[in-house]
Amino acid sequence: MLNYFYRKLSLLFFITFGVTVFVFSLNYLFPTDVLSNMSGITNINEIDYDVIAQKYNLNDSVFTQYFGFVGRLLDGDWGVSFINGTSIFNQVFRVLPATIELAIYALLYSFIIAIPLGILASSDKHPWLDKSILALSIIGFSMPIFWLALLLILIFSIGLGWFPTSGRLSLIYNIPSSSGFLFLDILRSNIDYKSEALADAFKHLVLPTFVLAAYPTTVLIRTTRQSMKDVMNTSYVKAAKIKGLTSGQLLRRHGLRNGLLPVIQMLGIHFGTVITLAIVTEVIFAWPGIGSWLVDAIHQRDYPAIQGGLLVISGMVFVATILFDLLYMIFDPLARRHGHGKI
Amino acid sequence: MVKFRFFSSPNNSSPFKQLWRLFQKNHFALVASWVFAFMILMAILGPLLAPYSPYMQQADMLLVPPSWDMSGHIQSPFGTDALGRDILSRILVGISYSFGLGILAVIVALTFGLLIGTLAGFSKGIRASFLNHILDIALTMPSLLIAVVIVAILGPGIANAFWAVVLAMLPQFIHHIRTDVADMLNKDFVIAYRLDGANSWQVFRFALLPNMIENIVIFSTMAISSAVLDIAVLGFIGIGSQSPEPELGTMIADSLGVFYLSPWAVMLPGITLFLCILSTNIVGDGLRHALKERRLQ
Repeated sequence: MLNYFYRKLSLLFFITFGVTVFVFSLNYLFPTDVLSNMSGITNINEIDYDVIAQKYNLNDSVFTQYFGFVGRLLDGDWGVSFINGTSIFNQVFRVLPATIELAIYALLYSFIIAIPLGILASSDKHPWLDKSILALSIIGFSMPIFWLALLLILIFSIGLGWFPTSGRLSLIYNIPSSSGFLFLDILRSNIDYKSEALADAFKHLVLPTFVLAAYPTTVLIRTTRQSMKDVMNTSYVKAAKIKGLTSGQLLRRHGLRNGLLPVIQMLGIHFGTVITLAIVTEVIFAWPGIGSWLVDAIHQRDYPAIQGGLLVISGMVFVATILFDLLYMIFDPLARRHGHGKI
Repeated sequence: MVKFRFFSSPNNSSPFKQLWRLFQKNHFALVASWVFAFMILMAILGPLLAPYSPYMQQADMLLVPPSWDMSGHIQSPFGTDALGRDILSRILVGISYSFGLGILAVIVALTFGLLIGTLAGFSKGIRASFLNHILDIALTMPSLLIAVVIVAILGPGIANAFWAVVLAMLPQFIHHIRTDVADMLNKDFVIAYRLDGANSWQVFRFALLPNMIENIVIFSTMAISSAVLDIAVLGFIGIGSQSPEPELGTMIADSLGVFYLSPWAVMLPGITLFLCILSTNIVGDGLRHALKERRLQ
């Protein structure tokens, strides 16, 4: 286990190195001036140029520049935005909590929906249930996420008027931002309309969560179904059945413990996809997270902001993947055997 | 357990014929394969069949509903959008943009993936381990995120979106083919073929490729659906193909402003896209099941 942990740690180190090298090379890949990309200052005049170039080690070798870049990343000096001149670091960490919040709720929701459905589909007693759940899951898998979002807005927001179409909270509520996570902020604030604000935040959350959860739910249903089928066909389950365990006991003691292991692995594999789908969801629902912020930056060709956004999103995906992998290893001793530098 | 069969005869048909026979037993998959073939046909012939130019604007025919509506016209069966452009023509050309480019992207990625993946599968030692680490990093990144990064570097546009999708899929193809090759190189029949004096090219051409081709086809089918989706998503969030182009995702984004007035301008391209992806997924699933069954026989 310790050996495995050490391996994952070295992989994390290697990945961090790779990501920072990539983000650093973006300075040279983007079409604008290298110094502008690094500092975020546009139209640098002749006199200032030397001073700023000195600060960003532009006259030294690429290696010195890279180490200077990493040092600035650690210091929190990520340059300023081309568009509004404010610090990228502050902007990124202001919008990041909204995305994490959305992704976590969507994953939780898909967990709650998908696992019972997957278990139902895996049993041989109801073949029609299996078929209809599978058909539903393949339809959900093929539905373009932005189109699904538009359909739901058309039905539930415009047609029935149940949920709002965009945003995170109605503008009439003034919640002081402390942690960035909306529910936490509302609970911690001392306002006298707490319950109304909570209800409003919940209403805003329903549609984006459902849209974002569509993909992980379908994937989880298929994974759960397959792994439960595999587990229920093993000899140890058959032996337990012969010993006289009821199907409920069988499921609780043997089925779920072994059948849900691949689900943890799947969550790790698909966490990155969920984050990218969150970008699309945020754009549609005008959710003030890092995804819509990054897309805006791409539209405005705000290169320092694109760098910062990519660094945070890819870093988040990598760390989450490795964490899920470690979790999987803790729960499943059999998987530790061939853990050769593999994510 | 030996099964007794009355009318059993040895099955001597080729593996592909057996696969097709098993595939046909699944009626959903069969219908999906017709839809899939129809979409491919439209991707090739669509621009020729389109009654109007997808860019032609008719100022006197704005937001005409589809022809099955009471106030629709027969000259534009699917109605027109906010600029008076015929939606049927735009969808026909749009299929060749979204679906056609998606298939093309998979073919290009497959070609490069086959080349690099095979070379990587044959290599050993430090080179292989270096490539493994690079691939591990690239595989963790979801393809759409890689595509967004590449578009951010190259700038928006349909050509850049196409290359972005190709590059984003490449790691998956390389990884898949490399594992296949590396697994198969240890099999006895390949070693026997080598002992017969076959060189690396002959081993690849006559021993590996015929055994990999089915897996590759199934994997590529699944990749098509994600490629089509990626191109459409990039178009929809406005960093892929740009506004007047009749790409399906871009068309949906364009018509968002008139969503309340004319939902069909959003729904019809969406249904087309959905059908393309759904048929591809069902065909891929059916092929995979058929292959599994044939291996069991």
